[in-house]
Amino acid sequence: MPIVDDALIRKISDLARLELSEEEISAYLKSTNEVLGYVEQLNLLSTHNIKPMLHGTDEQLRYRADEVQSAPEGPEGYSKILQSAPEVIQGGIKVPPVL
Amino acid sequence: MIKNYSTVDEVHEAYEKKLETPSSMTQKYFDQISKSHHNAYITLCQERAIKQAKFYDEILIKNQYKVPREQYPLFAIPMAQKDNLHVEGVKTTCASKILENYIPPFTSTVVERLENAGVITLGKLNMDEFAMGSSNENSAFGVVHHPTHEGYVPGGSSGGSGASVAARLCVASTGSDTGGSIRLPASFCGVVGFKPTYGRVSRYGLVAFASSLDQVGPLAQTVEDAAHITEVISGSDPKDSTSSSKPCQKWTLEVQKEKKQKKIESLKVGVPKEYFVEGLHPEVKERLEQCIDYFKSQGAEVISVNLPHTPYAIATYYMIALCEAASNLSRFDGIKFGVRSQEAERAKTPVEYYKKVRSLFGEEVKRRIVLGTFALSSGYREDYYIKAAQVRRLIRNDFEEAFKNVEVILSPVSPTTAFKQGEKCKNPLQMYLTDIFTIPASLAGLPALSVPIGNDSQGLPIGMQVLAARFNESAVFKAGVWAEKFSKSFGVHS
Repeated sequence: MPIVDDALIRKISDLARLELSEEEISAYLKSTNEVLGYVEQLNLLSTHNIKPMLHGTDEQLRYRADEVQSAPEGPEGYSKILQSAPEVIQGGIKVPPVL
Repeated sequence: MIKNYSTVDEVHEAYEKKLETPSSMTQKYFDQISKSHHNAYITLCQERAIKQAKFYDEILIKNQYKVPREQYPLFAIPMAQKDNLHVEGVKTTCASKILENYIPPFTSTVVERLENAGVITLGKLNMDEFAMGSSNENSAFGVVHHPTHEGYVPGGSSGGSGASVAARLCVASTGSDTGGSIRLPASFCGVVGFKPTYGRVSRYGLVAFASSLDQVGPLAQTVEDAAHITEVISGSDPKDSTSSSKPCQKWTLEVQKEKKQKKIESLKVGVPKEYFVEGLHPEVKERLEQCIDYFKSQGAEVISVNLPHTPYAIATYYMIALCEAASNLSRFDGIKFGVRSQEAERAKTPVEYYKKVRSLFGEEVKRRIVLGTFALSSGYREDYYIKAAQVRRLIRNDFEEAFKNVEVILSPVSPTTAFKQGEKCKNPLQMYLTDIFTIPASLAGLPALSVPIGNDSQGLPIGMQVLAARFNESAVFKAGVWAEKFSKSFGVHS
């Protein structure tokens, strides 16, 4: 019994903001169910009262002071950041009209 | 002949004997790269590298041809960086169309530390898109070819990092390892690869795949060079709150001392029976057993250990990694950076716009985003993500129990040697199973080394994995030195 059906894959793709072709939908439907089927084996293990390990470290995360440190400053700094924007207008990031 | 300049010591010796200057050495590597057909590089930093080399030319002359190792431990060493590590002013593509024009305004801590130590960056290396893959067949810039065997994969996701070191297109390289992405290419290409303990190396400026697993590390010709580079890049960084403040050891010195030892002094080695399972290629198994026997003959105490949750590692890993990836990759919206296609410009709604931009992700990346988004969605999160995170703790507990009795664990890196291009592409689950021996250490955050221990009957390299408890890099390198001695006794490793 597949865990994910065609409608659910479409819904998930929509939530993930992915435009998938019909071919992709059917390929991902197959691989998603295959992988989820494989993952089912985890249910063979009892994990009652086991604390989930959600982080890679047990160390207390260190906080730093909320101070500007290495942000590029001045006109040169701005242009450095702006050079990675897809489109720039008058020193700002230009966004498409729909936004 | 560039082969003579493939370790840090060899390069430094060439400088001190006036056989080469940093500039001529750098040029030699660029010449070698231009002749290669491995597709290991995405971007070459020729102008930048030559400028760096000239700076070191002058220092060398001023210092009367004595390499200033104290100030620059990696003085004028030509290295290359995986293309998910930022170098200011140089493109970071992550081997993806969505970032093909992205120029970061800052440098990653790893590259900053390397360059402060003297490294010359030759360029940025090819990889699986967003580090997702085990064969380096998922790059938007084409597959990376195996360094010696045409038609075979170099392993992934740091395939360019492995192939470039093996083919002498750089002295050493950086890679990133989420579930085996340094160790697998190192094993397939016949070089040394090291994933440090999670938290040992800063992730600042590394494009995130799965943040609780990602770790940067070196690929090099020798354990000594891997230790050397690890020493340079390790240590706390205020810009990465998960980087550890635990003190680092003098690993290079430790390795140098160990190399001089005649016998192994006090080393308890664990061999997990769960890693010698069906599917492990007989030639890989045989060579590994020979290496374990060698350790025994040299004075190590070898005992069997149990890692009972190993069979669940792949399922656990893919749930956690894919959930984290789906979340991390949501930032690629084509607004502040990345590519904005004309088609996207014509979008009528914001959702349509995002979808057009994100259609630039490759097939495997989209597959993983879909899976991760599903597993994190309402009604499924507990069943998949939280369940996997619980099993992750069980896997980690297995290792903690084992390391009460042994200092290192020896295992295969991969069930097979390098496979043929296209062999596993059509079956994602089959491809994921390639990582069966590397994934458990990633989940537990352990330091893990891949070291070559010979070749199979086709001449393809076989790697051995060395694991130790968190932050016990010293033990990993110590065992790595003895694995190298074993290989040399076969006359297989340079």
